[in-house]
Amino acid sequence: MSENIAETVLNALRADMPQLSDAGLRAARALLGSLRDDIRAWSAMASTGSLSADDVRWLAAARMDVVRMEALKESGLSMAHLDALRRRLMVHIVSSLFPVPGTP
Amino acid sequence: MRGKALSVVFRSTALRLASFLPLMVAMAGCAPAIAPYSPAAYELAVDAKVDALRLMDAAEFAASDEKRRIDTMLRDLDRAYEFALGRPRNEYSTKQWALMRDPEGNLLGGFIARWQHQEQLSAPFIAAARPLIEQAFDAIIGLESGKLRAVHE
Repeated sequence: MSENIAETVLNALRADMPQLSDAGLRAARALLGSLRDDIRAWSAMASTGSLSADDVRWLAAARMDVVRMEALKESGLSMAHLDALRRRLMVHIVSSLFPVPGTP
Repeated sequence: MRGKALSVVFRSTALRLASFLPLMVAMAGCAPAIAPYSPAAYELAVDAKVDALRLMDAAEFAASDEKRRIDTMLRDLDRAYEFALGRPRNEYSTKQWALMRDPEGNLLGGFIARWQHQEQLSAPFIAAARPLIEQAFDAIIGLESGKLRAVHE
């Protein structure tokens, strides 16, 4: 997929889902890279009559929905990592304030 | 002498506490950014994935003959969406289920709507759509299981 089209799609994704994190957008960009190969394969199937043009359009749109799903997953996971980091930090602060005798 | 030593210890602890106190208060005041891992949500997603992929294989046959299975699948999708919606700070999973079940969209809800509309779908179309729906389910499952990994990393 050309860089321009990828940027257009990513901008649309940002507008559609403003809650996406940078990690989510990176995942979306990576997946968009393989979209061209899929469309090529589906087009080849369409040329032999295995798929209709409407099938190919539907599949391409489905591929875009998969990109959205992955972007949401990565955005959610970056929040989960943030929570885990916050918890770990709290444990370190408490253990440095109140060290247990005999532990390093 | 002992009283003086205790006073020094008390003062140094108080000082350390005071230096970290604003940070601790700030962190304690922050609610988690995302709902924690839920075994029930994970199980719902895995079960739905297995059932969905099996149902998709049947799309070569008449949708009217598979009405019961289709209705069950749609009900399971609604149940998973409502479960996600009801959990606080669970916007990402909720949005994922909304995309998955949307009959106007292009994931499972859209696939079923297309099947019902056309009554039968071709084997090559099913074969091409199957890995996409599978990937979409994996994204839901991956978000839930990834929360557990984030805690243990």
